[in-house]
Amino acid sequence: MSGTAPRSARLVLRLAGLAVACVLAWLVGYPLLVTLAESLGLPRAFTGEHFAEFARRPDEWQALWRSLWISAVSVALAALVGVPLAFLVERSDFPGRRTLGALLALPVALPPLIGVIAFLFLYGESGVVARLLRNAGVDARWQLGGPAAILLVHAYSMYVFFYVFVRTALQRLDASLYEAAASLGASGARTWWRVTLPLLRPALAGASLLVFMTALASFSAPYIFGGSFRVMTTQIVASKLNGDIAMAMVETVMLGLVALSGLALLRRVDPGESATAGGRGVAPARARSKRWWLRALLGAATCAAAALLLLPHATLVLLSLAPPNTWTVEALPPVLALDNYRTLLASPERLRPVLNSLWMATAASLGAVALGLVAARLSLRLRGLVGRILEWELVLPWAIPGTVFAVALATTWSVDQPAMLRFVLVGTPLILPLAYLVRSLPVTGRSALAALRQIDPALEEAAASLGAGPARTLRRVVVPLMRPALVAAAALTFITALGDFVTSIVLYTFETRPIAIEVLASLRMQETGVAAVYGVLLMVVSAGAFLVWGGRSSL
Amino acid sequence: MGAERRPETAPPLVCLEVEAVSKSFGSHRVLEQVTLRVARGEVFALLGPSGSGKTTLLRVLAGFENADSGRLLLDGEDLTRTAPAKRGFGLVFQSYALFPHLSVGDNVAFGLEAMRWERGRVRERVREMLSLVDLDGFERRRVSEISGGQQQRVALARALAPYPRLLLLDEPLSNLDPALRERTRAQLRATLRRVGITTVLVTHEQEEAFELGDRVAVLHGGVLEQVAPPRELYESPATRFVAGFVGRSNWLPGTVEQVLRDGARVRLLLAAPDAGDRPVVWSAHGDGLQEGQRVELMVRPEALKLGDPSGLDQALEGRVVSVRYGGATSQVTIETAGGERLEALARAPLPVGRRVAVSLDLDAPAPRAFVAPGQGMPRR
Repeated sequence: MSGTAPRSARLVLRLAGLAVACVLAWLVGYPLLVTLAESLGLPRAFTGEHFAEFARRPDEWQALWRSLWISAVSVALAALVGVPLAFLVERSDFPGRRTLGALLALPVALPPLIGVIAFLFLYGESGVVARLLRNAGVDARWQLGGPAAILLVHAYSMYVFFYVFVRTALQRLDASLYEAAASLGASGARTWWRVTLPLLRPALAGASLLVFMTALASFSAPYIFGGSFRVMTTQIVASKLNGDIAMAMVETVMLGLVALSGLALLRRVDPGESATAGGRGVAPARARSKRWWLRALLGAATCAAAALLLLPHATLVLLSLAPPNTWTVEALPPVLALDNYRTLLASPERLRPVLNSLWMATAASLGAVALGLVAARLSLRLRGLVGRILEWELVLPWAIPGTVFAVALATTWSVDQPAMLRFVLVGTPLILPLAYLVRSLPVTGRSALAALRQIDPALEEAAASLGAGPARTLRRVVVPLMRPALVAAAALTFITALGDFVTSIVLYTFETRPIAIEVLASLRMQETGVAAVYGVLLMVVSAGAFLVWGGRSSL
Repeated sequence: MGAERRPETAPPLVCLEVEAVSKSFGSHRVLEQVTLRVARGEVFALLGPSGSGKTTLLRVLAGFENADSGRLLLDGEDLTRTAPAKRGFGLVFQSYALFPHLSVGDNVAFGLEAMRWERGRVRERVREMLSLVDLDGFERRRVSEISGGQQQRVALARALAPYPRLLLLDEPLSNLDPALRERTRAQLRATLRRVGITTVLVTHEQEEAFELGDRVAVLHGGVLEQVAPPRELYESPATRFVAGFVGRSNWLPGTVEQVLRDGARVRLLLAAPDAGDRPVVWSAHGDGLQEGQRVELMVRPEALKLGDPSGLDQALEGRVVSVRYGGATSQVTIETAGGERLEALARAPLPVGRRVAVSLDLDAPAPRAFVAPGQGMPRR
């Protein structure tokens, strides 16, 4: 005979788990299924005709192929930049090392569209660099566009994943491993191949996966720089804007399938268990060169690297300070003033997108943290089938490109069929926060799962033995212990939602247009100064949230 | 004296009663019909090797595991179905499980706040508890700033603060280094005596169980082998397992020559009988012995006396094969002509190779005879 009180508590828990699993399925899985069904002609008649049409068109295959190779090359480029930088910062000592270490993570804080535009104004054909060269008498003519420009932006913004992952792994490597290798007579090269590299494998695999998926889902860079060079994400949006809804859905399904198989494939290659987790030793000492000039050189190179990293940000600030129609052929703006800021602040209509983005991002991050926390906790408490389903639902949106989700949400929530649990949300202020929330679930859910797994079960038992009920235990023990992870996840979610472009462009309405959409509109109206002000605003708020994230996640 | 597997004599003022509790994980039976009673104010030690089920039993008591069958009563109240938070038991975890985000004082106050005490009373009680464990003035310290021994005492103070009805200790000293463990054990004993709380303690260390426990229960494979005060457990082990697990022991085969009132005279069966074929007959305690029965004799090292091999009656002859110097006494291993190895204690270290006679020290507790396997009584 087993205790009935725990059993009834267990039943409540199971029911709660089931309820949350259903809500998540409705939010995350249902739109994808609806899209799949409608791409197959359902509910009218099952047909593979749309897919056959897709297969017949060479431009579709071309877009798919381009998405794949751009992603693969992005991984290589990001690794090429990020891994050496991680070694430089973690394994050598030079003036400014700490500052550089922090600055190197900065590109992540730049919302994708803003980064792309900053690149355009910096390295574009009439950008600051080109103007400087021309003023110096160099005949500099180039066009920033096509795959090269896309890859440049990808490398700039995605090397951070390699940099952060490898740096963290290097910090965890135990110095005694190197000493052991040396004592066994291994040379430096041998140690690198047989010790360092295998131990870094989980970090490298994790970063590769992340970069590949991010590049596959990338929209801003191909949208601005691609022109006729279409990848899947831009192809989908183009089809949708052209009114070819059926083709847009087939493309969406195809990109979703590619993303899922990419995820599965990379997971198989490396199951991702961390070989470094067991070691809790001291990281090897940093090599400090005895030659002063080498240190000085490294210091100077550091300054140059930092400047290079900060140039896009600086360009935006410069642009935002150039009053309209004052900067024509000069290399740098002749007048610096706050006119653009005044214009923006004086007009409620121009402030609207800022307020829109702020409230939608706040609502989405709070919602995503709450839902992620509840689902993660239930998933771990229940284990079993429901627990696994919950965990799966939390992770799934991560593998799905933003464009795919946007099209899926637009398809599902534009129909009023209460019997099918479908309601009209497109065109209401709800759709964008909902889209941001769903896309943020993997971030909040995964970090909640990780944080919960780190809490010693004995702590909760101790709370129970001291008479604390489930609510009190959650409030006084579990949540305080998870706070760093939750705050970090909320900050990251907030940054992403605040600068979102990829889902917004599919789902926005004029009333709820977010900052990124307004930036694009301002550019179209030749108001580069105002566009830059929006960019600076996004950058500043994102950097603030990023500092919170960095501060918390390092705890 | 009969060390029969006695049906437990109910101690006065029974506090905790465990009735026929069984528990399985999958097909693995972890607890098998465990029944025991703990008296009010008693410190009760559960002793067993790892995998014996002692921690599971403690978790069943705490309510973190549900028993498959059986009942749990405290002062006659059935708590089998009560949630852990409602049992009112204090628990000290092996890892201490101190809340890392709370100060020492807030840790101790946690249970009191759950009971919604008013702030002034909480502060008073926290001070009192920290004083009890010699940590006056530690309220504001962070848990990570104090030593392992201090953490152990904070865990104890936290468990005792809400006036628990029963205190459960899960290997409370196993995380401490040996020197600290001994000191903390003495402190723990003094605190438990001072508070006078009914306590169930789980440990795999005999020394810990003997020093802290008024009575000790030995668990083996989910079955209670024996419940007795430490001395009785050592001197009159009820089963072969208890005899082997508690303290050191020598095992010698023999046959019962004559059954006495509380034991028997046992003739040793030696591989190579000593010169002259003199039989060696030792008297032993034991239950249910019959004449002619094959038995195994358990003799503690300190019950063996070493002397000169000059025709001592009822002695085995052998040769010292190894000596482990241990300060006050040394541990001597003797090998008989037939190859039996015996362990004995000697005040003065003997040289290896010396011939000695091994006889029974009649002042020491007598050996115990256990019916040999396959000889009627089921072997536990």
